[in-house]
Amino acid sequence: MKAVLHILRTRLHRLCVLIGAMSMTGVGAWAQDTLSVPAAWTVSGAVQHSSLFPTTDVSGDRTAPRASWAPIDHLSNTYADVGVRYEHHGDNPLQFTGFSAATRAELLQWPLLGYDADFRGYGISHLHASADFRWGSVTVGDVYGQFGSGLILRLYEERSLGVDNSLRGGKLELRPYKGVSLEALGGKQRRYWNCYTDHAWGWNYSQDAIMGTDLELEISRWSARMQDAGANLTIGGSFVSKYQAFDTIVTQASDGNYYYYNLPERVGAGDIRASFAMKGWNALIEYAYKANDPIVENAFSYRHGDALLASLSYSKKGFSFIVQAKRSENMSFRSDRKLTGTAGQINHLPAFAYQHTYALPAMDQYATQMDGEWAFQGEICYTWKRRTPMGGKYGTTLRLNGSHVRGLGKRWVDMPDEYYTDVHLELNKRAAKDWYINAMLMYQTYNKAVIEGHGEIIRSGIGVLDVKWATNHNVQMRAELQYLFTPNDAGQWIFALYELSLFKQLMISLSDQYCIGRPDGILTEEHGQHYFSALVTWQKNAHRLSAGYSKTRAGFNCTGGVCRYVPQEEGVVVTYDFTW
Amino acid sequence: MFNRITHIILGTILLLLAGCQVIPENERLLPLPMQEPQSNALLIDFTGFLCVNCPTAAAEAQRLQTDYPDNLVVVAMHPADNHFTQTTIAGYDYTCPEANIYYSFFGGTSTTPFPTGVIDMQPGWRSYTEWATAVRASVMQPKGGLLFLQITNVNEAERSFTVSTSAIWENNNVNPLTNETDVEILLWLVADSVQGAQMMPDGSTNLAYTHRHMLRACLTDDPWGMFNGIVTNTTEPCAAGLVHYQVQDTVGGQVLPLAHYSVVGILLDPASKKLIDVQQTKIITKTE
Repeated sequence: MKAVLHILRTRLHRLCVLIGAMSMTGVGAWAQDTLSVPAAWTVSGAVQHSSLFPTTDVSGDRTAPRASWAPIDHLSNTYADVGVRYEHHGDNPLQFTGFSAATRAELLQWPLLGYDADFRGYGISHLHASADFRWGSVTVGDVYGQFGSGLILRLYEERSLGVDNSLRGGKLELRPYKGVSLEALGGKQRRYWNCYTDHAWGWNYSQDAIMGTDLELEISRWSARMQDAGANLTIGGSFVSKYQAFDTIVTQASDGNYYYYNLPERVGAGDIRASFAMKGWNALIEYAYKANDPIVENAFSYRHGDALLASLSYSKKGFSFIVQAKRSENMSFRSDRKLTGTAGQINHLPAFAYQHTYALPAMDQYATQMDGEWAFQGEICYTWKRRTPMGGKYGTTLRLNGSHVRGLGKRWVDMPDEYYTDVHLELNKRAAKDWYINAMLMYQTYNKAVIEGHGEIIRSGIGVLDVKWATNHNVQMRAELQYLFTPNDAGQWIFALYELSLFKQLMISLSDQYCIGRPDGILTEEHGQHYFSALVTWQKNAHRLSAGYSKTRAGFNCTGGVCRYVPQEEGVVVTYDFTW
Repeated sequence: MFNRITHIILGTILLLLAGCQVIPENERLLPLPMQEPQSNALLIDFTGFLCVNCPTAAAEAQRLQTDYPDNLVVVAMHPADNHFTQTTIAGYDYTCPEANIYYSFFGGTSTTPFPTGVIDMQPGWRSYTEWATAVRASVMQPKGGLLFLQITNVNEAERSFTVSTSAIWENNNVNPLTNETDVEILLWLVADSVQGAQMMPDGSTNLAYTHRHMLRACLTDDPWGMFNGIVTNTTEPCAAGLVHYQVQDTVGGQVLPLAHYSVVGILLDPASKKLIDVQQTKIITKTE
């Protein structure tokens, strides 16, 4: 009886929050339509809801404590954001120019599959207020930010990964001179929820403190000659420090005796960078250094960490190229020395691997190895103009992209092991008035043992053909055909997709990914499996509703080199988005 | 109006305030005070065939057992609900249903990274780099109770035996009418020294890897053991329960003799699920 009442109470609570979130959007829409809101004020918001009604047993993925399990018939992630902004015009002694505030509610009590166990919870996850001035801004509450490329600090939210590593504290941005930007922030880092303990506010944060400062100088703004030449030179430097109280962590030394680590309570990291841009050229060089930071993730090593990143690119109409190189070693910077998994990361190391959107090329995506790696990426893109032999009637674009990642060796320049390689050639062409073609050939090497912790090196050849027919704005059709060949792992795959878009409001999408099998005949778990999807999407103004049935393969969902493992799931999927 | 020079000075001071502490190389390890263990600890090592780092964790567990030979019990669990365990090929299947039950209780999912461990049946995943700290903290803490296991009626041909349990527990949770208190006793069948396949840190597969202390079954129908009243506040152990068991287990396709098996008994406080004592005894104590 108690279990039934708990289930009813939980579902009613979940429904109330969802109705409340949707009511807020309704009020917002009504307010904008009906109330005479002063022009200086802006109210905005968004609701995002994703549901899965699984038709297979997902009990293996229950993340609830044993005492509070409920039947798994509905998993969902719901987010509701509301923000208000005021623009002030006119002079005042403080040079005040505006004010903004925002909050976010999250309902993740029975979240979608594949998130960390502590991801589950509900409450107000974000709250901040900010005052803007001509000389800068002051923010209190939950703050996000990034210093340079994020090598020592990147605070962001990425819902597909379950990442929200904001700081609860404050941020100060100053612009004292033209070309001078100073940013300082500090606080405690968010770490999921604590609504199952005694805290009333619903969010949890680590017991440490993080503080950082960043100074950027736009040299070119002080030089008329550089400005006349169209050159932009910027140098910057930042420093981040984290504090965590001492822990007694025991280890056995090589002499066989037990000791405890003398752990630093304050760990600092610094970053310097320089960028130069002129007449289509862009160059960036950045170096980051992290002092001794013994954590669980590096087996309590006292080695320092560092990262060097260099990038050179050029672009003009019809032609562009970019080459990048990065070396990083022991640069995982966490707010809590005992944390692993998605939470608690202070910095972000960009992945030098192309982020594919086509299904088969995206099956084995690279995740940045925080232990260390050498990474190289390059791309060259050329567009033949229309009415030329190569360009045809409408023009043709050819793009060649390559990524290569290797492990570190004993010497700084050593690169013994191959982690990942991706070379692909992509052709984009408007073949006729209503016909658009995108074709791609790709070679990929994926070291599964290094990237996923088990498996072998997988070498694949992939082909993609994407054809779109858009006769007018009211009817559009698109079809994809993809093929992957590899002699090992699960073997050959084929993927087909068909999309029909009607009147810019309705879209029907059908797809299937089928595992043909290995050429040597060895059967794997995925042999003969279909991973299909049938979705109907309706979109009108700011509303977008999608519903359908799908079976998705277990795999990694990656964004910017950060990946989340998602187990296989099958069932009815519903998503709703509303922005105002 | 703010002085612009003040902004720059303020910024510089802020940079300097963000300090950093560098530990000299000869001060990184500090000696631990010598202490005698006060109680026993249980380390559950969640592992799987596909987990290349699990042999490293298993070696760490073995090292801790060498340091605490009389005070640490290690049990390895292979839950089927994690993508590091291989269940489709018989020779590589070391899973058992009970491992899944405990794995779910501790919040394990198909994506929980291995290797990971649990100390003293308390939820909270521990990387193997934390095991030394956690085990030491546990064995140095008196727990106020003792569990006794006695193996009798051993029949090697039938692979059967009887386990008698008794316990002492100093606590205040006594029923005034019966002068008894309830305890929870878990009894596990654990297989040791099993040769089988395992993926290694270099990515290769070792077909002759020695798997240790693998959970194979619960000796009671209820995986959370049996509840019995025991008389407390005495210095003599009180009888708590008796189980007769016949081993039906095969490990990775092998039928193992009884000499490979031992019984692990866990005495828990049924209210808090805190571990009071853990003991391990071989079913056959003579060597074959």
